[in-house]
Amino acid sequence: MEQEILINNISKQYGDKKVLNDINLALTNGIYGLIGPNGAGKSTLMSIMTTLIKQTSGNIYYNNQDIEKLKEQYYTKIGMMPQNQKGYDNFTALQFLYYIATLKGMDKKYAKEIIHDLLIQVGLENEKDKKLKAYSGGMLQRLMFIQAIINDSSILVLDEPTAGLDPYERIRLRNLISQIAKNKIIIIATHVMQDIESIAKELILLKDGEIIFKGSSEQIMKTLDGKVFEKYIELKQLKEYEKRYKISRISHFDDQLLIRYIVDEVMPNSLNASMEDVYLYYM
Amino acid sequence: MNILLYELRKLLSNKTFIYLSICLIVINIFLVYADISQSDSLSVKNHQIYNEVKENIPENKLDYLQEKIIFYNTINEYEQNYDDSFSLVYFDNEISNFDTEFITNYNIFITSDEYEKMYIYYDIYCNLYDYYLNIENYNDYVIDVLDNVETYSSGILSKNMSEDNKLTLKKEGEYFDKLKDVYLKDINYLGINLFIESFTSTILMFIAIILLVFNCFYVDENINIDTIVKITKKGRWITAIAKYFAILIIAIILQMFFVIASLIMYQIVFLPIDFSSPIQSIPLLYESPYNITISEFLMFTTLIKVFAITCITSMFLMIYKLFKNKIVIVIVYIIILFVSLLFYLNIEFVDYNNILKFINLFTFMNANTYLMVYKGYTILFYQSIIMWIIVLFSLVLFISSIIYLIFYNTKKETKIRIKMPNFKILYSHTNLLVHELYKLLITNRILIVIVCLLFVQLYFYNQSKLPDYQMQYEHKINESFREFGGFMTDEKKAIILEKDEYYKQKYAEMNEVKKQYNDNKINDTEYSNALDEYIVDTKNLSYFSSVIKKYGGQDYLLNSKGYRSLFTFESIEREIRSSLFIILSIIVLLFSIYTSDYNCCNKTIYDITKNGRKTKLNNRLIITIIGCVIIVLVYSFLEFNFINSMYSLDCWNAPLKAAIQITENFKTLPAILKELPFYVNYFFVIVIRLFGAITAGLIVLFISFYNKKSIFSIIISIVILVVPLLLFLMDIVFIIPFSLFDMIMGNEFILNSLSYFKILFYLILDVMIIIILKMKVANK
Repeated sequence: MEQEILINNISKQYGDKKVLNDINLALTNGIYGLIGPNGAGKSTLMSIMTTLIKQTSGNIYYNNQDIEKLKEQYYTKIGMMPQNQKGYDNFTALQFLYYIATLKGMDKKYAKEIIHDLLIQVGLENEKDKKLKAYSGGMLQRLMFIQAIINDSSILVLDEPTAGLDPYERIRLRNLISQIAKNKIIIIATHVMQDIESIAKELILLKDGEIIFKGSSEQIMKTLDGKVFEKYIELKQLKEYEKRYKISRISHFDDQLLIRYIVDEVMPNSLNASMEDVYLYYM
Repeated sequence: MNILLYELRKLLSNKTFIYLSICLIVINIFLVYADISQSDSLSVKNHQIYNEVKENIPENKLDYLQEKIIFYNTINEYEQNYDDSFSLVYFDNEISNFDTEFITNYNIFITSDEYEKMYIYYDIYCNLYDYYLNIENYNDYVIDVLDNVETYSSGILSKNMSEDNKLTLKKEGEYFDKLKDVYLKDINYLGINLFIESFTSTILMFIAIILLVFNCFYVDENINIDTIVKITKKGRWITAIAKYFAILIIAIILQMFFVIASLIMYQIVFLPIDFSSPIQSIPLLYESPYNITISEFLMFTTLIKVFAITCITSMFLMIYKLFKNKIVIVIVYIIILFVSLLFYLNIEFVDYNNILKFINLFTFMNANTYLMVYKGYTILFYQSIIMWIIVLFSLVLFISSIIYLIFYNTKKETKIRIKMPNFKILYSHTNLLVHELYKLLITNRILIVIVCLLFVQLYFYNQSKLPDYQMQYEHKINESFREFGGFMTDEKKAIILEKDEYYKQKYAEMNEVKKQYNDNKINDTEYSNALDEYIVDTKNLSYFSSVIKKYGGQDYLLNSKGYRSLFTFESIEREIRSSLFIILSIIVLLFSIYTSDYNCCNKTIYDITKNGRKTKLNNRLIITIIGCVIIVLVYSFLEFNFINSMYSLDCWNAPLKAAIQITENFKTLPAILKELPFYVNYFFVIVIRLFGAITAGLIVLFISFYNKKSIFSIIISIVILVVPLLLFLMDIVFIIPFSLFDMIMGNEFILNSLSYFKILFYLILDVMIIIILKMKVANK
């Protein structure tokens, strides 16, 4: 089913501090990467989208209807995985998931089936009766992912979903997100560019409460064409380069340093930009 | 329904909440036990006398009690004759009434224990007399009330009466009319009377509500699960209402536990009562206009308490939702409760017209007040008893809370945030000791618990203080001892005997004057002048008589009551309680000192730092020692202050033996200590207490070091340090040689089990603990 979220002139202010400034976005089915440094306004934007906090001005429309008015209808569509989430220590994984299923108003029989399937998919089937206090960080992340998708939410908001996971688990979760992405709007806020580079339909770069870029990873990397270079320099020259350019990597080679840097003006003989370069350049 | 079950499960699976609830129930039982276990407490004495009268005097109880009261009154009058200006009246009219039989009885009586607590016994006999008289005359009382209602509501008196008052009288009359055929029985009223009087469970319930609301709402906020829950279909108002109901259900269950546990304890100690008796059989409810039995009364009051819980929970929940800062929430709640308590305690119970006595959270939660008297409130032309209005009010509040929760949780949350002072000065400090103290006392909120324990101890002291008039009397006696007491030199002895002779002579002279007056040899004016002169001359005779009673061949003469109490010659109950609080404070202070490091894996971070092992251990040892010293000194100061305020301890130079009676035999007390002054002996007591407390502190520190979980640390500490004390309370005395509590008690150790081997053993243990800990942190 095709669906659309329209974010219209959203601003959020805490006292004198403007956290979000006139955000406009149109999101359709697919995965979106929300990228920005700490304090850029990612969490605030996600909280507003999930109706957890109220915007100072602007509106959000889901399929042309204001989400303020949709309320419960909207809640049944969304799933969220907050950052560094803990569960109830004394609940087992199964108890916790049934609790969430109850909160989401799911049918018990259906919940039982879906919980069973999802636990197998994320590899927690054998740990389902363990209390959450005995769960590792990675296991908790996977469990939180299940609770977000348990009711087959068509809008998924994932805040740093791969934080604290080992590479194997990160890949597994990333693949899982890709698998379920069909007919869903998935917004992933992250610092780890590689996590979304390959799966995101579009990247949204947020800085100081404003969107500074929105487009595919190819498009964003193209903006850095002719701007990324590598060069051997002496150690004493490093400070000079740091002043003039953004340096994305420094490697030692005997007495010399190999630096990768980004310039503001387009120049010949440049290298292909990586996502790290993009992050550094824009943030 | 499902969500409610989940909320209940969440609450009941929260171990902290469960342990705190168990603590509250145990505290409740302990407070009840403490109230009824003190052998010299009013309630226990009352119980003894009641049983004596009930068993030994099957008939004519009133005559027996009247005789007792007259005897006490006569003693009072007799002693007054020797006393102050009151003797003017008595000497003039009553002196000749004291016959030789009375004097003989009096001389026997003053040597008995009863004489020391004469005021208490007098009150008990009066109360018991009133109790039996009330039972016998209840029907007359009801008829009197009905007659009064009739008189006031008709005739000239009713003309000046407001419509409201007329309606009140009419209603009251209607209620009393139903009591015409009620007959009262002699029940074992003491337990149920105390149960009604006590409001400790009310205070504990207020605390329980704070715990419940915080556990139910704050836990979700704390682990940030709100962000998941609130975006679900039932995650907002349905969940909030489910939480509200879960709180109510658990609060009501807790309340039931408090009520049932207290009731059972009172019933066990004071024997069971007949629950089918009318409530008027209970002295506190004698004037009640309601025709109900005691069991119905208990059901009614429990029901009112349920409504009260609803009301208070709703109120606290609204405060909780209004403010962001948790500390502000608790402060606002405490202020409201404190104001309620002030109204409850300061408005005279007989001041029925004061509506604040009835519309008050404490009265509401205590519930009993509503059934003690008739209190009506007129709305338009209909008058209802105030109890129903309060219940209606709580129902309105209940519905408002639900509406509020629906409204509040549908909208986005906005809370009032009050800027709190920060303790930057403390935590920006680079001294590890300051950090450790801050972490322990402020971050772990231990200071609050320790202060609470201190307040409970103060409450006990306040409860067992002498009445003001008796304290004044004791102070006057002390003045007399100051004048005539001290080291008994020949000179002093001569002064005492001279003074005694002087009073005897004055008394004889006055008797002579009275004889002359009776024989009409002197006129009224002369007699009156002589009497005035006698009163002035013998102003301090009653206080001097206390000196002369103690006067014997001893080297030192003093009023020993205060010192006997301080050195627990007569009763060790105060010291047992004090040591229990000291041990609990030490456990609370130290049980988490190491276990808290395991939270969030901090221990690993600390252990790899330069000062994270040895220096940290040294600092913690310092905290242990200083903490134990402070706790012991504070409790000892409270004890000293309590006794000093009653008996003015001002003979510190006197030897200990001056307070020991010949019949007392403290086997282990060395003769040298008996010769040493009080201040030296009290110093020894404090030193022993400090030694015991520091050892206890080191044991708790050691337990905390070897446990990863605070709960195990606290349980093991309690088993090692508190359980022996409880066993001792149950008369299992063989535990003493292996336990530490007698050292923390101080006097108990010195007077009854002074064992140098034990001191040596614990000294070695202390050193061993320190060495083991030091080796452990050094990885040796």
